[in-house]
Amino acid sequence: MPKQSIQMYLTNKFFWSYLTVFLILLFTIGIGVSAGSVPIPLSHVFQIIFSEIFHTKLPDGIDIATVNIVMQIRFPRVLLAAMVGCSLALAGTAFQGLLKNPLADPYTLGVSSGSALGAVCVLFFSFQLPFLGDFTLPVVSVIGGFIALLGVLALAQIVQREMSIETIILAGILASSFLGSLISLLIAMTGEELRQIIGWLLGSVSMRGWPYVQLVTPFLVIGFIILIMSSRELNAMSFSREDARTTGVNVKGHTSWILLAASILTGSSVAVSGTIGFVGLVIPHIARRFWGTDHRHLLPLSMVLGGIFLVLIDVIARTIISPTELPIGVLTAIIGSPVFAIIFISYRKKRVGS
Amino acid sequence: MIQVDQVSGGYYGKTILKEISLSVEKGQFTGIIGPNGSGKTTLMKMLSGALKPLKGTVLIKNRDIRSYSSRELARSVAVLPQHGNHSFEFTVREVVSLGRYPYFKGWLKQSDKHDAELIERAMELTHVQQFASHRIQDLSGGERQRVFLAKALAQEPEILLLDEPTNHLDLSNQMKLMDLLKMWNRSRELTVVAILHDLNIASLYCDNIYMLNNGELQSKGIPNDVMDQVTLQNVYEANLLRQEHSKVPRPLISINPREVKKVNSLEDLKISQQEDRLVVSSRYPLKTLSSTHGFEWTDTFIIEREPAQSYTRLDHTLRFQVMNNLNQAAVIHSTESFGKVSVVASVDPFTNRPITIGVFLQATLTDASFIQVMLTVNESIHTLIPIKSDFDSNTFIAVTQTGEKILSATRSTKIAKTLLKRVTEAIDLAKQKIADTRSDEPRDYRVYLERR
Repeated sequence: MPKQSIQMYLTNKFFWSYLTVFLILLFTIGIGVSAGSVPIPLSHVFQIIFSEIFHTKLPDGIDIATVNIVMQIRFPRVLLAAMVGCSLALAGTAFQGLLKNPLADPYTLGVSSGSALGAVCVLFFSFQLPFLGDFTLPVVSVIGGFIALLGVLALAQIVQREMSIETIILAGILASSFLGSLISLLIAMTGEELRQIIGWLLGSVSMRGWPYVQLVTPFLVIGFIILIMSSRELNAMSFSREDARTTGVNVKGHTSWILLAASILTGSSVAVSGTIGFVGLVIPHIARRFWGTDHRHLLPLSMVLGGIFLVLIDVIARTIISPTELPIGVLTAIIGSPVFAIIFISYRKKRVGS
Repeated sequence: MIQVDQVSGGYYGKTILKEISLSVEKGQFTGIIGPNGSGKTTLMKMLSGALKPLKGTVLIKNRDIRSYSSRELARSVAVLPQHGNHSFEFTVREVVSLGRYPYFKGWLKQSDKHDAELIERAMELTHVQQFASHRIQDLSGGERQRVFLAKALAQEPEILLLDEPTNHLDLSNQMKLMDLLKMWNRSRELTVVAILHDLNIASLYCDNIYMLNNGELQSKGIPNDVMDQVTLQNVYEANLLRQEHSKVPRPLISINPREVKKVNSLEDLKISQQEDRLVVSSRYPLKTLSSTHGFEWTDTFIIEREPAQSYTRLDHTLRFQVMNNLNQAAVIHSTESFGKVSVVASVDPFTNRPITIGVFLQATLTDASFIQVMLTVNESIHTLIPIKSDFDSNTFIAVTQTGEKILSATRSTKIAKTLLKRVTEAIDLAKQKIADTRSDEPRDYRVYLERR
């Protein structure tokens, strides 16, 4: 049966892809923990993490200070970077698929700015919503991002019903600068901790620790589940919404779910690490190049790829001009902006050509 | 299968469709035609459930379309959309498998073996299985359209809606696509409703046609009834001509481009006459009915002695073969009430050889009047040539199709009488020239002509 062998081949292809990216992720996390002002051998890193997880005895030769550096400072930081990378890449993949827009990403759509405004509000007015406790920050951040997203899409639709790629991005830029100025206004009014908050806005995963990892995990899990459950619909909607509807997709329902999931992912990662741009733009393109556009595989694979990417970027950010640390968002923007330009140019060329 | 009852509606509160009713039976191939902005796409959107009517109802399989969920509807109705913007690189198989979406089960929309088989089958039917793992961006327009058709088929619909399916396709791909649709329509009783821009495709492939104009139903019925020349001209505000297809009993519509200047006249008809060859050439093609080639547009007419070798037939050229000396052929010109007339006659009454009569007219003739003129010319041959027992004749009528329109040229009309007279004169002249040559009296036939 040739058909079965084709299916076998496909399953195999994806099986090896998953295995490869997961191994690379593990390895990258190891590198991330090992690199720093005090280098720790890779073998020690894995031994320490293994023993902490399975409560086994530590081998000799690893002192408690190293264990503390790994477990209290570096490992949570690297894990956070990985999770933020995963979230942003997932959100970017979802936005690009849903809006059929190769330039869409939480940052270019203004969702990050909305989330940032929400987060800044929480930080400066230091309030907590009932029942949410520490989760007030990410939840308000998610709400801020979702409102900004709806605003951007509504604006784009008023401007142009078909919502061309450029229109959406322009609306996103407009929202970003508006929300950005509101944030600046808030900061100017308080006047304190200026440098710290600006550093946070530029995007950073340093000095966050385990609480932040705990904060972002449920959002990543929920966002991922919602998106995976809508992956076939994302495939169908990649052509046109009308086309998806006539193939039986409940377009309105799934659009809302996908937008919500992407906002959850963006909002929570902004809440823990500030605005890190372009991860959600670059990663889905790389992932599509490797594995095609079937969102059932594209979503998980680009998620892992996003994790790998951000861990590596974080390593570079804190080692390149050591001992000073670069804000991670600065580095992603340095890499992401030219990529944005390249995608834009190649997209325009393709469209003119066809 | 589909019942549309008194439906009105449009976008943003603007009414585009006004009380349209239509009904499609199972297994019918229905076409929707009409000029741009006539409401075809709006109607199609109501049939696919994309647009809710402001008034009236749309019934699919005797059930109000509003009572269907999108999954339910997708199992009965598939839509082949107009070419969209495909910004992502799906493979052909991935696109086709989307068609199984309304049948997937469970939270993760699992597909089973049956789905996989139907996907392969749909690809086979549309002949795209060889591209199964290619990306759709790498396919040509025609192939891509077949992929989307395969996706629609994988939905196992009873009704297939198509919005200008042949748009952007070349002629061969248009034909292949329509033939494929027609085949399914017949073999699986697939009900097809298609918006068609090309009136000829609509005429050739549809069982029933609905013609919309300004959001209203202009006419409906079988192609023969709907494709009425006057109605089409009014609806499309264009000079359209209805003709008949030569192989299929269906009407054909052709367009009549507006000419900047009507220059077509017999003024510049060039005639060169030599012993072995008589050539009449016109600057512009003349619509010609010949006894050898039927209707054609021709600008060069050659009457010649047996050509040494066979020749390839050139465009716009008619050739007739004779045995006699073509210096003896007669050419006369005259101006009649309806326009100019020239007659060429080559006669060989003594040898049973073919004779050739050509009539050039400056007028506009219908197909019927062409035939009437042909009959008149033939009559003059039969009454005037002293025939032995049988002879062959070649006749052609070449007309500028400008100037006065002649709707009838039956034997009793003035034009028939005039033409009969002119042709008779030409034959007389030709016979005279032969007689003159025979009596060995070289005589300039022009003098003869002037004398008359």
